[in-house]
Amino acid sequence: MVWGVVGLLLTVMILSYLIGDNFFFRFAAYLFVGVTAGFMTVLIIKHLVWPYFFQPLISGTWHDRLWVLIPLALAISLVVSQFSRWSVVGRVPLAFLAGLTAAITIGGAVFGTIIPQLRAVVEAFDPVRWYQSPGRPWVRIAEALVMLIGVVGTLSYFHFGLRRRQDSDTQAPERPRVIQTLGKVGEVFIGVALGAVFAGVFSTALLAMIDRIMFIGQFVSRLFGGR
Amino acid sequence: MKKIIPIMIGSATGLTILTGYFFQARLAPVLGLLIHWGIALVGLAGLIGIGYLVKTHLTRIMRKQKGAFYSVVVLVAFLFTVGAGLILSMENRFYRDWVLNIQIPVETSLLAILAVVLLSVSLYVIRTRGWTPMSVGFLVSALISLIFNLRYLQTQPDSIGEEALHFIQRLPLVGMRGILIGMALGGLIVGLRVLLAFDRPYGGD
Amino acid sequence: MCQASLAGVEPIHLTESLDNGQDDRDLLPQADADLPSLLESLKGDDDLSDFSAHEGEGQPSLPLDIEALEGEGEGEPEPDVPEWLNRIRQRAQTESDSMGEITQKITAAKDSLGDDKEESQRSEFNSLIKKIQEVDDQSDNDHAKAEESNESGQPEVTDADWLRRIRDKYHLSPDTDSQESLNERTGDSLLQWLVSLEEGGNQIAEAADPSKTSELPEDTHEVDISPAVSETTQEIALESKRPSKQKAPELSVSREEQVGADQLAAIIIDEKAPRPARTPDTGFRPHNIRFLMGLLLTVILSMALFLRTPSDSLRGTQQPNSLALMNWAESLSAESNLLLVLDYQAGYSAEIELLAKPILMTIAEGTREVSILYTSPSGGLLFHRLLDKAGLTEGLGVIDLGYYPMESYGAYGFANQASSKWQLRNQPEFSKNIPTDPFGGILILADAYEGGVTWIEQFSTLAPDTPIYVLVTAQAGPQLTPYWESGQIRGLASGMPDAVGFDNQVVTLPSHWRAYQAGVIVMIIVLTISLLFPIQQPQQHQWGKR
Repeated sequence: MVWGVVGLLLTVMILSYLIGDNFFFRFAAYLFVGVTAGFMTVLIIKHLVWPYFFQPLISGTWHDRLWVLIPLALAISLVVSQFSRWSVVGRVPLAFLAGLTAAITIGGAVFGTIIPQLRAVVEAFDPVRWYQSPGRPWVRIAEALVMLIGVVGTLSYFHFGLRRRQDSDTQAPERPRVIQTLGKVGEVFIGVALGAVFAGVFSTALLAMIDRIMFIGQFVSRLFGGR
Repeated sequence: MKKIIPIMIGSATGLTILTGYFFQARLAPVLGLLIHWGIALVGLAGLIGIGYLVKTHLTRIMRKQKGAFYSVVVLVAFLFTVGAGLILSMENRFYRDWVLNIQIPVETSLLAILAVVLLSVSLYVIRTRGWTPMSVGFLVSALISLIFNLRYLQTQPDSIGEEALHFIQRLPLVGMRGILIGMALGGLIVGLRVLLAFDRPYGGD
Repeated sequence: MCQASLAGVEPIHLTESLDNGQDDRDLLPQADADLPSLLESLKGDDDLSDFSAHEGEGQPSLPLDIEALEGEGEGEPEPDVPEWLNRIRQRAQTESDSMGEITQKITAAKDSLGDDKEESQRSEFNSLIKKIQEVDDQSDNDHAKAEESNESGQPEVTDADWLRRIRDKYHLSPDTDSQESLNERTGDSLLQWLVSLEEGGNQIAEAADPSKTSELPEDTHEVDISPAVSETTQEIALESKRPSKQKAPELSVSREEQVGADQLAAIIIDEKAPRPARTPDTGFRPHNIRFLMGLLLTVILSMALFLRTPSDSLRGTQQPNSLALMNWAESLSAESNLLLVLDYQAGYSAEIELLAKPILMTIAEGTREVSILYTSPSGGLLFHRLLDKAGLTEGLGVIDLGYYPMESYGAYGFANQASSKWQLRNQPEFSKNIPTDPFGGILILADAYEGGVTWIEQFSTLAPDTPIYVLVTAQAGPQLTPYWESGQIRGLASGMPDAVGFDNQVVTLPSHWRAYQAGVIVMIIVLTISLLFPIQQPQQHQWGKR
């Protein structure tokens, strides 16, 4: 019951933003920030800092202690770099993290997205698929064509390379005609994709609103001994 | 010399990880080591960020600046949550209820406000953006997606209507695939620039 | 300036007499022959041969020896005019354009600029410059006064002293000179132009300090160089050299610059102009619309949620992607190792619970133990809440593998570790609990596209044999569908429609579905209105007039 009251009060405080920014909304928001920050602190200390840095030093073997020196040194330099005088020291751990993140991003992008997605576009033209998949083959062919044109058009929309016209030095450089045309086609497909995303975002937000109204209704009914 | 060391460390780390995509079995121990160090450092970085948050609010309170009352709220909530978490433990029922019964109502209510905002701004899409191919495609696609979500449209199996519906449903997939490939290409280029030290987000330019 | 006396100095005949048929018209006044700077500048005018020829005859090289000229006395005939000077005079006579291209261009440019200027603008700028000059003059006068106070009565020497002495010698009045100079200035020759320049400076100097002229001795005498202060090189008084008022240089302003200046002036005037006080109009503001929309939506959703209606069966067909997910959940055996990746925030827990409850209940029937890891801070707490709501707290064993702050690090490390089956000595305790057998499947519960994509990319690359299934919110569904199309994930369920498809089989939630449909219909109506009747968005502040 107590937590129900807390939840109800916080829900009403946040929803009061629809009327305008007010004290209650800010109070609820700042309370949320404090609790989240505190919870994250506990989580990081218990799940990361203690097991990765301190536990091996306290209860590990000499081999474990030796191995933990490197991340410990990186961690100390990261902490020390927060003081402006020693900010240079923080470049090493940050460079380590940057290299790590960049490499994982590259690998994921190339092997996890670019190659499989392009392969899917090409494989749509496989005649075996047209006849093995359920449905009419000409629909599959049309889908493959639309997919190819749409993907190329979408990528052309994001092509910003300009070419200077050789026949005239006074005119501003512009995109090649083919790219411009495909870009227009891609613009439509991008709009279509974003429209679907918009519908999804609204659906998610609508479900959240339904959940809040349901919660308030159920609490009120429990409060008054109803259903 | 000072600038070279971070560059070498970043590039060496990145190249080792990339090599792991090709020689996974042989490099698995080294890769695991690097990943564990990275996870620990990211966690510590999160802790440093929280420290800055606390410092900012403390400063606001000590200088009696505008909004100091809210900073008091933040710090009190923070200290109570940290204390309870360290003393009680994260699996404690009271602690779970304390955290979840504050986070869930606030975040869910904020999403509910988003629903209202989306509804109100949908009135002005055309007026704001104009009749461009993208804005018209956006509106029509949103309409059709929402209609499909109602699950009112039913067709006979293996009929031309079903094929047409299926074709229309797959149209957003076309643009989304292009966007995904484009984003992946962008991530690839940014990652390469960092590895090759053209961009140095860690400083040292 | 050296105060050498010209007494006893023989005049020097610089050039041959005019016996080459040149006329004896002397267009230049006597003083023209005494212009050292002019002669220096004209040295390059192929007259060097003349000079070298005459050097042997005892004629001195330039500059002229003024003492020699002065020593000739009154009434002496004019010294022979040098050949080069004669040639210049001839050019002045014969050529209309003897000033040269440069001076012509200068004159032409001046004329063209003069045409473009408007008198009013010129006067404005002139007045501005005069004001600046007055300030300059004021500062100059102050500076000169300061210099005057520092000077120790040193005699002032002007650069026209030699000219003045010559005039005095030959009893030429400055008026005559000036008149002649004026007459000469009307011509177009380069020589005349330079003469007029020199004359102008000398005249101003004379006009500034006429009393000095009478004080100068007729005869000059040589003065030995001595270290005495009074005999050292004397400082030229600036005040006598500087004209009292210099002519303001004319500014050349193009039309575009003038337009810009006018605009700036108009802006400055407009800023300073008094304006009537205005009150904000309390009309229709954006947050009023927001409040009305919120009220409308709340009323409609409440009616759909709480109004009693005859129970109706949920209508909905399962899509192939969600059907595949349910089939996989049903096919899991009791010995299957299952990994659950939790990557959703507390705000999305309502939707994720709607989707995940039927799946987990199906999984719990077959599998007894699942491993969980979370990349969102409250993932662990939310999962336990999910188990509570599904009633699976006792029915399903959970191995907590911990919190991974970065999805990419966790995904890469876990996919790498899962495939290599290595355990490092310094691993944290929780990560050592990874089951040694390969996973029967990975189920990702995500609220956004980024978290899900990272796990899909890394696992499909490093552990392609492990099947991946995804449960996401409706906002991430369209963005992950391409991965299902490409075969990287084996099943995908997102949003309320797929939850209804599951629910049709397991549990019932008609009220939620009704409310969802009502909300979607409201949005469809709003979008249709926006498409057919474009409406202007009200501004944040509507300022009304009094």
